[in-house]
Amino acid sequence: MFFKNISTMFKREFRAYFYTPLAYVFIGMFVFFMGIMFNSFLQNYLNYMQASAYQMGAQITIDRLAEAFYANMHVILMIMIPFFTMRLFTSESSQGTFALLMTSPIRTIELVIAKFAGAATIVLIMLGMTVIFPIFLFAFSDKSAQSPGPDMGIVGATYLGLVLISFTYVAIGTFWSSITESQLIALVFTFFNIFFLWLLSLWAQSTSGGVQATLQQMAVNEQFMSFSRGTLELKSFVIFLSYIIFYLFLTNRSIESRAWRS
Amino acid sequence: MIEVSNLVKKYGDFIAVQGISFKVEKGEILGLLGPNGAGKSTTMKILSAFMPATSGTARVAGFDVFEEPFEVKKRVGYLPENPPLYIEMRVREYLEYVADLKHLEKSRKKERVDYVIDRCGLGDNQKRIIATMSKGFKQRVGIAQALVHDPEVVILDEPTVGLDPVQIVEIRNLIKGLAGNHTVILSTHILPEVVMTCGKVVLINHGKVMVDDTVDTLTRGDTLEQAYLKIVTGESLAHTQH
Ligand SMILES: Nc1ncnc2c1ncn2[C@@H]1O[C@H](COP(=O)(O)OP(=O)(O)OP(=O)(O)O)[C@@H](O)[C@H]1O
Ligand SMILES: [Mg+2]
Repeated sequence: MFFKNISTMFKREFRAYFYTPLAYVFIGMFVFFMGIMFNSFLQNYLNYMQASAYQMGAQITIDRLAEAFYANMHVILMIMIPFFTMRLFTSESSQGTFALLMTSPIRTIELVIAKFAGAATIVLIMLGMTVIFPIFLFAFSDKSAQSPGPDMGIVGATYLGLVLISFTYVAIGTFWSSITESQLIALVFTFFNIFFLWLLSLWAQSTSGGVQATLQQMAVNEQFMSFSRGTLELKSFVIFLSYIIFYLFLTNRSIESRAWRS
Repeated sequence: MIEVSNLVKKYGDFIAVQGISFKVEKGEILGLLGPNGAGKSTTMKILSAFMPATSGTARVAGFDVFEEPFEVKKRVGYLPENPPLYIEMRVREYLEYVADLKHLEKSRKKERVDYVIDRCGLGDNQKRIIATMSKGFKQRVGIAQALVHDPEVVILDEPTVGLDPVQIVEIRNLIKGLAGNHTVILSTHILPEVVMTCGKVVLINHGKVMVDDTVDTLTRGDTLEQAYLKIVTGESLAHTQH
């Protein structure tokens, strides 16, 4: 029953994104932005190729440029994901459909997972569409020493990092949508929360020793950056998964207590 | 089928339901009456396991709503005061979704959805997006979702609000037709509706049961309206009005 309930609600959640043109517009905008960035990435790459033909030993590599490209993608996801999660639970309250869910034989955790999975799937689709960029690069480089093409291992690790950090943001957004009936409040708090996690890495820079190490571990963008340099560490997985589970757990508690309060 | 005993519900310091008790046998239709703010909707929310009571017990379809809400939820169809509609969905799509949520067997899904669409007068509108429908049609979809999984117990909070006269008659017939196989609790402010559809009446005021009797007994001497006014506002006022 667990998976049956989740799949019933997940299908509705996913479809709900496409009832209005909003999701199409957002996904379209994302791909458009990434296209522009990819274009400037190619420009930089070609400039660097020309420059390095004259002066040997240039410092930049294609992998460095790709890292910057994906860092930009991460920033755009940080901004867009809160828009995808703000309506998750708020719309159930405003439409009164929360009463339907709470009087149906489902568990709140199933509902939470279905909501999370619905938004996460949208993000996966967005990420999936950008895979065309590295494939394009790989296909058109001649794999010679001058034009090596991207390291597909690093690209793979980067995407894994993007998926994990996006899912973390989705979990954060899911939580904030569960504590308020206002989409705007959910949006703003999700932004703040994501921004706060990002601040941790800045904060870490001004500290040292154990505090610094802890803060760096907790800053999800530090974890993501290690993926995008091609470092896959079990520790990073654990940190992302802990965040996701922590926020989904909080969401579950908040939904349970909401039923009590109504 | 439904057994409520000493049910209390507090919202903060305010006591909305003050220890009510009543029983509904299988196959009966109970009209829950009372002035605005009497605690009708609150009681129905507790019985549908939407909200826990502060104290007291309630058994619905053989299960305690507090101990085994899951079992209760499987067996209850509930129409809240505001129909719980996903307004971006189409009528049929929405009813199929509710059927899945309530674990209606796949083999009966089409038949049941067709049935409630027909009986609630939604046939011509089943492909429409709910948001574009009028209030009365939304109410019909709300009634349809409470019945789609063929629940043993049906809890309807003011089901005929916003319906046109023809539809009111049809929905009353639909509810009457549920008697026997289903146990129904409905709340309403329309007293003739109670006389027409319900066998029993529980009248609450300020969260307390004032009357728990059959419609026949209540309407023996007075009309139901006279009986209601006597109880709620006191004898004197009832006399000045008639
Ligand atoms: N969420 C809530 N928080 C605080 N008080 C509430 C809440 N819900 C209901 N009440 C109060 O509880 C009392 C009973 O409300 P309820 O909705 O059960 O009345 P009702 O009998 O359904 O009235 P009506 O005929 O107007 O629908 C009212 O005084 C109401 O103000
Ligand atoms: Mg009410």
